Amino acid sequence: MSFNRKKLVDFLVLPPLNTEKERSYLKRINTITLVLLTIHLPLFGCIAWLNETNALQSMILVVLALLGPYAAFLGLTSQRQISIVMGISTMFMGGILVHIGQGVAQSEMHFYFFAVIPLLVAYKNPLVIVAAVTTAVSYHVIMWTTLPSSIFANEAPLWLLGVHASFLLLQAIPISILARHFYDSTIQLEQRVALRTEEVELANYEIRELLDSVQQGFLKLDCFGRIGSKYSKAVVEMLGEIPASNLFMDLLSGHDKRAAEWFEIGLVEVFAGIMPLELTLKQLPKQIKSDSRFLSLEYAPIIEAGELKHIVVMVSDITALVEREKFEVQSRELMAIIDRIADDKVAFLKFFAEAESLVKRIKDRTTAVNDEIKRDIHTLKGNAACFGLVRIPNACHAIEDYINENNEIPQSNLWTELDQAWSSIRDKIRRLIADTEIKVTLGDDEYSSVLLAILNDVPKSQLVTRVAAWRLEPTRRRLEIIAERITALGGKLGKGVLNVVIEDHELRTDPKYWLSFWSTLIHVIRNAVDHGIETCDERLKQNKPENGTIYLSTSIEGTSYVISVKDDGRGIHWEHLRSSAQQAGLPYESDRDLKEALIHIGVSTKKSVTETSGRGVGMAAVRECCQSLGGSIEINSVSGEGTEFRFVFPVENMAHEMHAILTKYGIANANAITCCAPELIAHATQSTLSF
Amino acid sequence: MISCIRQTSVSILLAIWAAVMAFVCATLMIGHWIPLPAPQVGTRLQIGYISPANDSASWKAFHFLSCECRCSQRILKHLLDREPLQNMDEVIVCIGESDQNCELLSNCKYTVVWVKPEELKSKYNVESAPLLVVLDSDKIIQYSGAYTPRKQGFAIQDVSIISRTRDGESIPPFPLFGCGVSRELRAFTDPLGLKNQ
Repeated sequence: MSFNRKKLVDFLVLPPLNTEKERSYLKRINTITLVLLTIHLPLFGCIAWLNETNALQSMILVVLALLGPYAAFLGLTSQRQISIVMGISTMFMGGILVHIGQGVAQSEMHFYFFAVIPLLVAYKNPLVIVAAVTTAVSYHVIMWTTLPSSIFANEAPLWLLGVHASFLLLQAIPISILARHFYDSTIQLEQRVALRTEEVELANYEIRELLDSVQQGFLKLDCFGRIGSKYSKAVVEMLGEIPASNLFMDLLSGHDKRAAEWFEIGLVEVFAGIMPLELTLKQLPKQIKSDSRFLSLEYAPIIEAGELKHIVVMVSDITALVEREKFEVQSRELMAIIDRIADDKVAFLKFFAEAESLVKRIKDRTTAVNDEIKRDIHTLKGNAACFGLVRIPNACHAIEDYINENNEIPQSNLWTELDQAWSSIRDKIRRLIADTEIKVTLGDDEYSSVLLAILNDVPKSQLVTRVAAWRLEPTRRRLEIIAERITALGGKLGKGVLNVVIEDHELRTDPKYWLSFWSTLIHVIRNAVDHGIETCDERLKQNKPENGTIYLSTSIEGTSYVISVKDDGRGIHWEHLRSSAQQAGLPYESDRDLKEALIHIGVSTKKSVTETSGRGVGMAAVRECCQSLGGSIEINSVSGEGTEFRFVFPVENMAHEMHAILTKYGIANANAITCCAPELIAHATQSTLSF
Repeated sequence: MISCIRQTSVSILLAIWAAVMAFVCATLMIGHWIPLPAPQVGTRLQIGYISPANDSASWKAFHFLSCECRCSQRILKHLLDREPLQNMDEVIVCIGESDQNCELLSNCKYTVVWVKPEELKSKYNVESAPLLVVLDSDKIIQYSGAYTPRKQGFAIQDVSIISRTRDGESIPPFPLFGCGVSRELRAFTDPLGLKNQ
């Protein structure tokens, strides 16, 4: 019961919160009502005059009824209270009208009440209705209770009063509900909207605070790349003011035009929904350089009801990270350089000299795209990678990408990258190697052995070959370096732990003479690992051992020195090569044509380009190098079984300069210096030398 | 503080205003909301003080009309618009001062009797107007009530009521809505003197 009473009170009494808007509305309605009530004065005077009641008296009564509204209007501050007085006053006006409306229409004058009460809905306050109805009921009750029962006992029964009141109540109840509903659906709704708006504004403020305090840039984009209204302060700090077009592409283009174009194309693909979302998002630019800062761009989709609506872009200043990575790369490079120098100083110095020459040549040719510049860049990239450098190969790769995409010499910034990387490395190398002279170091055994040979008068021809061999380099050392590279590449390319079998046959070669070839050979190695060797899964499916094997060998076959690189991979895809050759306008009819095409510049057997291989430049460089050393290339490939590259040279070229000197001095077995460490002279080995 | 006092004062004034106006409206209602008292049918009407023109007539109709009552004026106008009925002694009892200027009555064909409001009850035992009372030849009231079936309705049915009553038909009296004209009743129905002109 108390609950019902509470509900009734809650229904009748409006919430205390009233907004300025409600006050303004009620003031307007109260003013209108006051005007209308004031109009009753002449109107009722006329009605009274027409009905011959008493115009003056009726106007006096109306003035009395108006006293309340005017007093309330002037004295009360609450517009709701004034409304209630207005409602009461209308009922008094009704009472007066019924009195002055004498005659046949007197009953009809009662309609005034039933017309006015619904109009009070405009106050949107059930209490106004209740007050009005209570007023009407009250003077009925006053009348009934004050009449002397002795006179009216039989004529004024209570039920008549009830009937009279019930009609008013019947009207008042729905009108009150309507008024409350009107209030709920307008004023309270406005209040709720205002409250919600305030909450939203507060939430917005909090979001703004949050967005302004984070160091990352957050912004939301629609399918057209338009930037949403909310974005973090860091966006402006990192990328500048949002452009008038409100397009993210325009914002990006102020820093990196290529990234902006890239983003514009990528965004279409993201929202096209043809490709997987994860893939298309990955294709958007991930990093841009803005002045001296590096900014990373990450993307997150906003999906509603299974449909991509927006993407969130997170911009981070990764300058410090990039600088640190650069430093780490430089440190790694330095360590790699130190390792290489320690392993093979001669080879490294040779690489260094050749690389410097290549860089100079490349820089001199930056006017037009041609095969030479492509080959030089590719060779520099391969050699630098082979010697453990990172920045040079990356810079070369970027230049190659640009040339292949645009068929023109790239912008200066890419050259600057290469230049800076090379300058940095060159300075380090120069500091490390002050003396570039190649020295020969003898072990104790070798020294003792030669000394004894001299003391024992070993023939000059034997001693000469022995000493001459000191400047030669065992091919095993080179093959081992290549083997290391194979192992590293295998891991990097997901080919598992590759087996490398070395057969050097204890051969030796002139390191200076052969250095360029060993450098160039890395292209063959990279092709073998990247193209030839299958992944572990593929190999298992083909009933092959899980890990591939690469055979490296140096041998003498008759009068030829043969360097062989053989893998047990998938073999060359001749049909694809044929197609590539056809597209390149090269002969492709015979096997010989295809082998020629294989090593021709621009023809690659691989469909996609990777950092490692696939451009079709490396093999051309190998051939050129091979030819410059007087050699030729033989290719044997069986589909599914593997490929072997054989590089065949004249045997005297193994130690080209030394062979010429020895021959000049009449040393008959000059070739012996390249075969193995010359055996010590029999009698020399009989003695020992002690220090 | 001043504002609070002002608010309270205004609220008190408004409460007084509402009470007064409620009382005024209540008094204005009397007479058109509750039927006024009329002599009972079957009783004898005190008519000793009247001096009818034809006292021998067997049936009489008395029209009690107040000079200050707007309702009575309507009935009077109606009566004057028709001729008095044949075989019926119709008497207009004008409640008010006899020296009131009433040109309408000066040449009318009805018997007109003037009675002061303070004498009305004592002379006729009547307190309200407009009232139609029909007496038979034994001076017994056969009809005592209003002229119209509804409050101040268009259809003034005095002729029909008189004729049918005379024909022996018992007609339920119409409730009387009008003015309390006797001094005693006026004290209750119009304490503020607003209703009578």
